[in-house]
Amino acid sequence: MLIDQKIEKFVKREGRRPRILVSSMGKKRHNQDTRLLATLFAETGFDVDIGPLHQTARGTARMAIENDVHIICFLSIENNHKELVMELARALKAEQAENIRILVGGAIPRSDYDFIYSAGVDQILNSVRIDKEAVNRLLDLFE
Amino acid sequence: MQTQEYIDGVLAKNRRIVAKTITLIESSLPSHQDIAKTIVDALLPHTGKAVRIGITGVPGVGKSTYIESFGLQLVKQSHRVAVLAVDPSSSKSGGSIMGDKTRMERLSLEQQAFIRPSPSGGTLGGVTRRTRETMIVCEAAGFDIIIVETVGVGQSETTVASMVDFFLVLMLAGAGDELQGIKKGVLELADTIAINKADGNNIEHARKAKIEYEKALNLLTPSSKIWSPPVLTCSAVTLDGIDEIWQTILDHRKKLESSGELADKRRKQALDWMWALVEEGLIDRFYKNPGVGKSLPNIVKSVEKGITGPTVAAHKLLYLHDLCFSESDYEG
Ligand SMILES: Nc1nc2c(ncn2[C@@H]2O[C@H](COP(=O)(O)OP(=O)(O)O)[C@@H](O)[C@H]2O)c(=O)[nH]1
Ligand SMILES: [Mg+2]
Repeated sequence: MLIDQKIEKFVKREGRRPRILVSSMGKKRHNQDTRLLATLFAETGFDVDIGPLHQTARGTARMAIENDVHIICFLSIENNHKELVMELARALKAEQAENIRILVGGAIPRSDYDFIYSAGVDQILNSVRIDKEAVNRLLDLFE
Repeated sequence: MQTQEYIDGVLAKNRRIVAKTITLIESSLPSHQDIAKTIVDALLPHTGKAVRIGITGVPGVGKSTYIESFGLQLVKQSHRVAVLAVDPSSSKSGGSIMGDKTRMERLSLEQQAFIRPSPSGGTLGGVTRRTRETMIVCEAAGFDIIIVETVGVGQSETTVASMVDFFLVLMLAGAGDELQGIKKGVLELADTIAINKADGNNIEHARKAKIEYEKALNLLTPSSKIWSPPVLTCSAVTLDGIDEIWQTILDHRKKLESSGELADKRRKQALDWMWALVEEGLIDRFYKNPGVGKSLPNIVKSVEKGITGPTVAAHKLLYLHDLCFSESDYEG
C-alpha cells in the first residue's frame, strides 16, 4: 500500500492524521536536523508538533500528552539515547501514556539496539532523516 | 474510555483526559463527535467565568512570544492559563507543522498552563466549532484565562473574535506605510491594538506607528458604547507594556460587566455559535446525502465541461438534497 493510502486509512479509523511530536532533547543545538525531520513528516501527511529546544524527557512526555500525539520522535545527538529513552518511557508510564510510540533517530550503535528496544522504543532510524521505508514501518505499528 | 470518565477527568483537571477530550472534539469521526457533544453539554454548566482573550497578527509579529511572556506573568499571579493555537496553514499533503510551543519554552512547563496547538485539518468551517468547544473544556478544567492565538490571515480572526471577550491585535511598526498593509476589517475587530517589538532601535518607530493607528481608529465607528480601543506599545522580549495590556483587559472587563455589555456579548456569541453549528451541519449533511453523493461527480464534470451552467447545477444539487432529506436525517 502507498503511504498516502495508509494515512488515509489511518484518518478514517482515528478521525485525524497521525500526530507526531519531534522533540529536541539535550543541550547541544541541533535545530536544523530536527526542523528538517519535522518538515519531512508534514510533507508525508503527518501533523507535526515541534517542541522547544533543550527539552527534558519529562518535558517531552508532558508535551506529548498535552498535544495528544501518537508518536514521539527524537534524535540522539549526545550519545545519551539510553538514558533518554528510559526516562521518557518512565515519564510516559507515570502518566498512563505508555501507548505513545517512540521513534529514535541519529547515530545509534547496533549494539545499543536491543537495550533501547526493550526500554520501550518502537522504531530506530539509523540516520537523522526518514525515508519511505521508515514511514511505512512506522505506520504499520498502528495497523 | 466511557463518556462519564471524560467528564469526570476534565472536572478533576486531569491533563491527559483534557487532552483526549480535545482530540474527540477535533475528530472527524461522527461517533467521536457524538461523544464530544455529550461531554461538552455536561461541562457547559461549569463554565462562563473565564476571561477569554483572542490574539491575532501577521506571522512573525510575535504572538507566541507575547503569550509566553504574558502567560508566565499570569501564572505568577496564580491564574491558570490555557492557550489554544489555531493555525490554518498546512502543507500540500494536508499535514501541518505546529511550532508555536517552540516559543513557549517556559510556559509550556508550568503546572498551571495548558497549551494546545490545533492542526488545520482542512475541515470546512470546523475551526469555529472545535475552538469553541475546546474553550469550554478548558474552562471546565479550571483554567480561568483562555488565550486563543490565530494567524491574522483569511477568515480565522473574524471567527476567533466572535468567541472571545477581548480581542488583541498585535502590529509591527514599519517605515511609515504600515497602514496600507492591514485590512480595515481587523482594526474593526480589535479591542486593543498593541505595537509589538517596541524595544531597542524600534522604540521610536513604535511610537510613530502608535499615532498612525490612533488616527486610523478615530475614523472607525466604535462597536461599543463604553469602550474605545486604545493603541499601546509593548515588547514581548523586554516585557515592557505587557502589564499595561493586562490592566487594559481587566479595565475592559470591568466596564463591560457593569454596563451589561459582557452579558449581551456572550448572549450574542451563543447565537453565533448556534448559527455556526447549523451552517456546518447543513454543509455536512449535504455532502453525506446519498442522492447528492451519487450525482455530484457527474454534475461537477458537466459544469467543468461547460455543458451545465453553475446556477442550474446548484439548483439541481439542492433539489437532490431535499429529495433525499429523510434518508440522511440524523444519520450521524
Ligand atoms: N525584538 C523583539 N523580537 C520579538 C518580539 N516578539 C517576538 N519577537 C521575535 O519575532 C519572531 C517571531 O515571533 P513569534 O512569537 O514566533 O511570532 P508569531 O508568528 O506571531 O507567533 C521571533 O524570532 C521572536 O523572537 C519583541 O517584542 N521584540
Ligand atoms: Mg505563533
